[in-house]
Amino acid sequence: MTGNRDNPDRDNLLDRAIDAVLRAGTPGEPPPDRVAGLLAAVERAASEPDCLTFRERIKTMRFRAQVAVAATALIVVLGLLPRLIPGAGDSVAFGDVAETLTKVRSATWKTQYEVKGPGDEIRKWSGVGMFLTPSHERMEITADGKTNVTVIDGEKNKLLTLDPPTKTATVIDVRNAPGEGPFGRTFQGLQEMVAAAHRGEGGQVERLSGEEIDGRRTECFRIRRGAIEVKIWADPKTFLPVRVEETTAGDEKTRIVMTDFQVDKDLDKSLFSLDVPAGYTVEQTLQLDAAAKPITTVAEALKMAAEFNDGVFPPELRGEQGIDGIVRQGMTAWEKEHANDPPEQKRAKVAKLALTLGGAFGVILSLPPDSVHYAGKDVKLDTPDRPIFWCPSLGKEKGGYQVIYADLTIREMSAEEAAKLLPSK
Amino acid sequence: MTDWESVVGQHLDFVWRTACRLVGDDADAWDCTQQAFLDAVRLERRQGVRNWRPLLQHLATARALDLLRSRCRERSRRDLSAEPAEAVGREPCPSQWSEANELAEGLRNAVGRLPRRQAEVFCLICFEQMTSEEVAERLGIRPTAVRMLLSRARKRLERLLQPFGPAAEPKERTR
Repeated sequence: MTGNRDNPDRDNLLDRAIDAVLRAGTPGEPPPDRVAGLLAAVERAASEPDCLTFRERIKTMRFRAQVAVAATALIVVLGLLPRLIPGAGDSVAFGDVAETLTKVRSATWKTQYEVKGPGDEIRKWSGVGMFLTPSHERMEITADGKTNVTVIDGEKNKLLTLDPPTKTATVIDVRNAPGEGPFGRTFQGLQEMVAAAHRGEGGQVERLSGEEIDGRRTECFRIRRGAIEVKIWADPKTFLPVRVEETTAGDEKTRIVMTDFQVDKDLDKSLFSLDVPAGYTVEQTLQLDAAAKPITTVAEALKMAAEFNDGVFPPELRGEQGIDGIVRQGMTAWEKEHANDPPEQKRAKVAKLALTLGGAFGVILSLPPDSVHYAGKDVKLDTPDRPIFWCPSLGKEKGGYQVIYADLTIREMSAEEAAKLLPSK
Repeated sequence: MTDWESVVGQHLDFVWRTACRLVGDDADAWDCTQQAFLDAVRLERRQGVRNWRPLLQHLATARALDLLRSRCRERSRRDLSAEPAEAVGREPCPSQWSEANELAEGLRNAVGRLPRRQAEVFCLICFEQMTSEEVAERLGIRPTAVRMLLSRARKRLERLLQPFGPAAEPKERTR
């Protein structure tokens, strides 16, 4: 038995209670008449009219991301189905979608963003996205009637944002960007996520019931990776996505919907140019260093929230009392105080903040919610030897845990050691 | 086509015992057993089943936990006048009950108060003798997360069982 050995009486009490449950007498065999009734109920349920056929059962089988062999076998079976079963020619496997999506060389799509703010206020943006292989992306995002353009070159790790009303441009140069992971790469991020899920390396894939979208029959797959959930409705004939919806599972505070996909069209390369267009002035050039380990970003975000909260860590990790709520409130106050500061200084602060929070939440949301623990409530920044955040090791050190302390030191340890540091409540 | 007669025949006994152990009552255990098999029918349709035993073990545990949690809510509703007690009080029980039975019942009540995932992990490991890896596979989480959940569950249960400990005054034990 594992357990707390600090207090032998309490520990023995729990172990004795477990033994008592295990040794509790069971009332012999279930009565035969009840068994017959149970069997009848089970057989009735199994033979109800909506009972699935063999083909449907295979189609609705859940892919176990961890068991790549099973997934591969399933894809083989689905690949053979069109030849084995008449009328099964338009069935689609997740592997078909992954393979087709990976081969897309260029794409355009429409995007709707929804962010639920305080008091359930929902803010919405819409946008048009364009992708050109290998790693170019252009987003034209409209909010409150104003459109901003962002051009990303994922190979050069450069980003250009254009503000047409003011004719100003911002250039962001990211140093030490990680080899994988979306640096603002929406479509490429989707391609990478689907491919990783198909390889069994990231997220669990599940088939959901399909539906008709704009008069087209679709089949739906769901990928769950940590708290992020992505649903893909694919055309069974082309295997291409018809609709993609990304939500944060549980609270659904953000929702991104991509629709109207067109792929492999000729797109003018100039749309993806990082050259500042004529008539625009470069307001600032930001150098961002992404060399920090993911866990460091979480520590940085916690520090940021504590600084906005009179030096005390937020009561919760997420939500109005969490990092996001505290930072939002803090930034509102900060902006009022610095209303007369030069706009580029304010923008630089907001950019750093957005990058830190984006990185931290990217880390937190990518982990299974059950594996992340937070105990920073009422803890002052820089308190020594006070663990406040636990998560499974990110990066190479798989299998262990990383713990952030209130003085922002980060320690690697085994799950058992990390568990011992958890507060009793 | 699944041979349900064979599935039920092979696994009914231990599903029934799993449910009995957790809920400690024949009638409730039978309801859990029946529900576990009906859940299995639905799951078998959706994703197919390779290994019935751990699946049914999990389903029976989940149904039993539903019942323990519902008993816990019911007790809270009945006891509106009292502040929510952190520790589990002893329910009035027949005088002939042994201390072990009382302790077992206390643990069942306490498990009903745990967060769902912690309770599942605790029951599957401590009562069903599954390994962390087996539980991780069943619940779709990492083994390290399973160990963390187990540790948290044990800590909470230790606290909830305090009224049954040697230092507890009889007055504190009865809610």
